[in-house]
Amino acid sequence: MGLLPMFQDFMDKGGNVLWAILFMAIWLWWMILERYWYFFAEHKLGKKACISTWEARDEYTSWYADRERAQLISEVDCSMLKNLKMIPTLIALLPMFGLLGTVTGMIQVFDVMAFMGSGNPRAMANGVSAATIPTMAGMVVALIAIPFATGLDRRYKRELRLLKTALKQH
Amino acid sequence: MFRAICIALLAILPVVTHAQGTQSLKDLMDEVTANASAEAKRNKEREAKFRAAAGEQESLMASAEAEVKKQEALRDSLRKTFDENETALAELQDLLDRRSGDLGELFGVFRQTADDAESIIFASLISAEKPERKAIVSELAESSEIPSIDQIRSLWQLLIQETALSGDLSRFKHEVIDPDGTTYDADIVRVGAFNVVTGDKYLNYLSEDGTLVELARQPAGYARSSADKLTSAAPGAVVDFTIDPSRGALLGLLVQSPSLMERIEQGGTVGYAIIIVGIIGMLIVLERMLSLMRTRSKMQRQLKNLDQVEEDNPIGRVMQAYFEHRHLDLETISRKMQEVIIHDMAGIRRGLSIVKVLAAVAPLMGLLGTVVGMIGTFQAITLFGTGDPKLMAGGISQALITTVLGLCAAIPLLLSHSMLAARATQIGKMISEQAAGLMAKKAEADAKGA
Repeated sequence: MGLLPMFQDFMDKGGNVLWAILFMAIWLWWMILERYWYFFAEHKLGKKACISTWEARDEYTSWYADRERAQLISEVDCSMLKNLKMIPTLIALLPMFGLLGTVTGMIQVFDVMAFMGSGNPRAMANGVSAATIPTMAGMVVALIAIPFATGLDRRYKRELRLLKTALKQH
Repeated sequence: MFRAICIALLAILPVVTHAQGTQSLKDLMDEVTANASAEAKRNKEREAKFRAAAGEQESLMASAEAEVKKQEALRDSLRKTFDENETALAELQDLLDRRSGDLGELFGVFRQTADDAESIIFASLISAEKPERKAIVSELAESSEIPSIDQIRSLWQLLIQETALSGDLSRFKHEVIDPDGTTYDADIVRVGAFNVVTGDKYLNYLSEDGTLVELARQPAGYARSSADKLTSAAPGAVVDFTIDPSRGALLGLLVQSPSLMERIEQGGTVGYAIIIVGIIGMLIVLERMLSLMRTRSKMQRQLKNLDQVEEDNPIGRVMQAYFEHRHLDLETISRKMQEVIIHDMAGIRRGLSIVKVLAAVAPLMGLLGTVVGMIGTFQAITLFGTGDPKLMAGGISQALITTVLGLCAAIPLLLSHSMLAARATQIGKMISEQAAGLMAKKAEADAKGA
């Protein structure tokens, strides 16, 4: 069996909710990759620009300097924070989608039971797989993403600390 | 004889009473004597008549006995004939059995197959197009005589026709009944023995009276569009078509499966409450989104034009606070600006917590609905036992639907809460840190210039 038919088979078994989970998973991983790309490439440029602006000042002790420092830090902070809080939210939503899939699958099972009684387990199998596959998929995607999410969060905090120490107040 | 005299006396009595006053006893005696002799004469006549009748009875008896004899003889001869016929019949049956040999089995199989074929052809969609086949097959199935070669031939021809037609596609005209009960003539497309469609509608074939009925609830959009494509396809064209391999049984079940509205109704009061919570939450989210977007665009405009203070946005108000107090010392300026910022931040973060609360409440209400539904289910079990799963279905549907509704309300609320919070944080940082920085830079430049 080729990869595409296998994928289609999997998606068919999981029902409509699995498509929502796929969409959420793509969104989540797109954001994670985007953040990594940001920290890997763009952040360094922004940080360098920020430090050089600070270094260009002639004094570092006045109220004006203090305000400007806060502004510089805040600008970098804002671009670091962009999309960052969305990642844990999506991770929290994925198991909820899994639960949604479970319940809609159960509804399918009970529909079948209402038509055919409980004597035909084969007819119910479709609903059972629609109930279990989204839960599994949601869990798997969320669990894999958790280390990356915490890693990104730690990285954000470290970068903020580094930036604050880099902008020295003499 | 005594009886006769009595009758005579009775007859005389009125005469005697009548005579008492008018005639003498002698007259009476003469009359009695004359009467007695007349009576004796009459009795003699009757006696002679009875004797004659007795002779006649004897001759009747003799003739009846003769008749009995005759009938007995006839009975004996008939019994003999019957016995002879019995033997002849046994001989002939024997002969028949010998001559027909294995054919007896053949006729059994024929009858069985004819019965099967009757049920197949009656239920088959092909009979909608060719209703004359029903009469042929029911005649074959109902005949109790030994089938003729012609009948056997017509049975297998029917079966082969059924097989051949179940693999082809044909168009014909037929009467269709729509769900309202009105009838119209339509161009029908029959796909083998599996489906009949007209336009984009799937039809159901009622075998009892041979009518085609529009399904009250049609399958999902893509199946209907494939039917439409099939109906309007040019001869020889290849089109995709969604087929019901169960010959209409699955499509029949479709009518029973509840629609979205019916599903929501199954949720009951709790379901509606969850929907209301979700709608309120989404309205708040929408209002907050618009308001934050407006604030942001005003702030962007203000940031582009720092020389002119506009009071309709937080940055403008921070600047205003600075310009109003620029003659005071830095400490006071800072505090005044802080005041404005705190006030604006309250406005920006407004409604966020309520969205979060609603997002948390919706799944809890779903859980409430689940428990309510379960209570209903167990009540049904208490009343009717577990024998019929259909009786429990109501409570179970409520339990499941409310959970679904709770999740469906909570997921968008959580997602939009996260988006709103991120945006509010960003705006907060812009007014509290970046705006103050810009002001400081401007003031520093002013101070240097002065």
